[in-house]
Amino acid sequence: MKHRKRRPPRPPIWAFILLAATSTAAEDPGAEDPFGGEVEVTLIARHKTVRDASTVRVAVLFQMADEWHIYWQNPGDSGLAPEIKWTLPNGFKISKLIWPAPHRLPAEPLMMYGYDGRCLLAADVKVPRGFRGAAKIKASVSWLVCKDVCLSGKRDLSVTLNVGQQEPTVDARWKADFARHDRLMPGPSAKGAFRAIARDGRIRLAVHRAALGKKLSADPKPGFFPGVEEMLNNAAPQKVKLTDGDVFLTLTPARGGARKRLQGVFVAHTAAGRRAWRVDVPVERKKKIAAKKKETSR
Amino acid sequence: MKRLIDHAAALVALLALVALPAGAEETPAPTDPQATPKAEKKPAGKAEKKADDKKAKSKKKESVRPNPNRAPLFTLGATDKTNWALKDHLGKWILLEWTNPGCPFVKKHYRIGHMQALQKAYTDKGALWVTICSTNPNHRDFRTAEQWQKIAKDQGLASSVVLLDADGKVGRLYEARTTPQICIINPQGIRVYDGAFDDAPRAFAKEAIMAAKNYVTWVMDAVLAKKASPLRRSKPYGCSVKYQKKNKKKRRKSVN
Repeated sequence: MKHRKRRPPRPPIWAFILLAATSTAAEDPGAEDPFGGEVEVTLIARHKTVRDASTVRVAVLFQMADEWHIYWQNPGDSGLAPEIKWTLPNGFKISKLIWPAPHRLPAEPLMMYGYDGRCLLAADVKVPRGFRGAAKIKASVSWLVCKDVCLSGKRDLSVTLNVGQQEPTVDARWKADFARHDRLMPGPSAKGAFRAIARDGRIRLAVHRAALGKKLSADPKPGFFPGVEEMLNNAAPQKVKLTDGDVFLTLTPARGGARKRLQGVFVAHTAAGRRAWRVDVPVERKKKIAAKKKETSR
Repeated sequence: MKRLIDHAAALVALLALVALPAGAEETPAPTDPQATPKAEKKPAGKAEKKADDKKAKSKKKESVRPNPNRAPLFTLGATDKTNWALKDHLGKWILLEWTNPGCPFVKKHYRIGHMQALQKAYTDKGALWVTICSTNPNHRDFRTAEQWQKIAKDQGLASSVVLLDADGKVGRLYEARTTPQICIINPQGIRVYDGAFDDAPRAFAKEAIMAAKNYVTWVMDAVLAKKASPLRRSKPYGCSVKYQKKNKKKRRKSVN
């Protein structure tokens, strides 16, 4: 907390009393809102004990009350993605955030992307070689949580990893959460799995089903989530066509959103549940010379 | 004497604390350049000129290909119960500000008087600042005309007029997505800017808000100096506009 530094070295007692009386109002812009308990955040680690020179997955667990949601890395038409700032012991390294497959959060005429219920935002911590003992991983987490109204929040969290030479032990409390996050983490895909073609002002995403290595079900429908803000018209319905070999999605670009690449996440249901794949392909342009000539000659 | 200094120091510290903007603790995260709205720079001014030329040449041509940046006309009831029509005010620079008094992203600008200061600055320069609330009557943030008069007084609103768009028609017409969101219309009735208020969605503390690049001043200072708008669109950020539901589809259920 910034203001602690501004305190004089020996403040008299009355100052503390006054401070206690005013601090709530001064620190918490949400104080005027009659809410509470809309989201709970906890910093968790997959393992209780780990070896040095290994990687351990940590995550911020968000538990939202009914109807409340937080946002994906691309929040969509409104909202704001959560932000996590890590503080690690010397020599430790941490990966970028690993966001699980988001959900659509429609509020006609707008479309947002995010999570409700229970979700993890994870990252992999690399423990340096030769480290022994307790390692405190700290996360400063800020978020916007919304239902029909929005609240911003911030918490400083920490989790301790015990680094030793013994066999790593999984923390049973979070096993199911991490397993679910593993399943919902957008995975890589074989080359040629996705192709994006610009046509008639739309972008057609062709998904080669065999390249995903899983059978996709038609219901619930597969969908695409743009990983870049202002790339697609978020609220425009995605037309879905499934053939034996492919899935075709018709996407609507955002106004003024001429994009060269289609980046994001493809989400579909398989026999084993919901799955996601990373998409990052150039948008191919079909040259319609004949059609263009017609237009100009008019 | 030493004790007196202690008291004085404590008092000063306390004052500083109380005066700290309320958001200082809540979201002091310095802005991440990756998370700030992606602003698209465009060679501005061309579209307006084209449209105006077209208009001058032939009205027919324009009806074939209307300028997508032309500000659609509308009439809304103001909080003083009079009607306000856009067409009566064309010829001036007009700023539309979408607002919702309950939204933290709106509050953060009003709490420090920043929004009001800009309202005053540009209305003083002859522009019209039109504050529009498209919150539906069933939402907890909805305020009646009378309540709005009190809000305007309490918060020292300096906009030219506050319009109520409870059925969301004008918000939908302008594709307003968030509060705040700003649309700037030139005297010819062409939208020259549409998007965010500034480039710092994560700034809640006063210093951070004031350090942000403010798109309204950037655009307005340019256009009032007869330069082209330096920015045509940016991604608006904030709370979603609380539109009246069009159909009875479940609103908050996540799908897919």
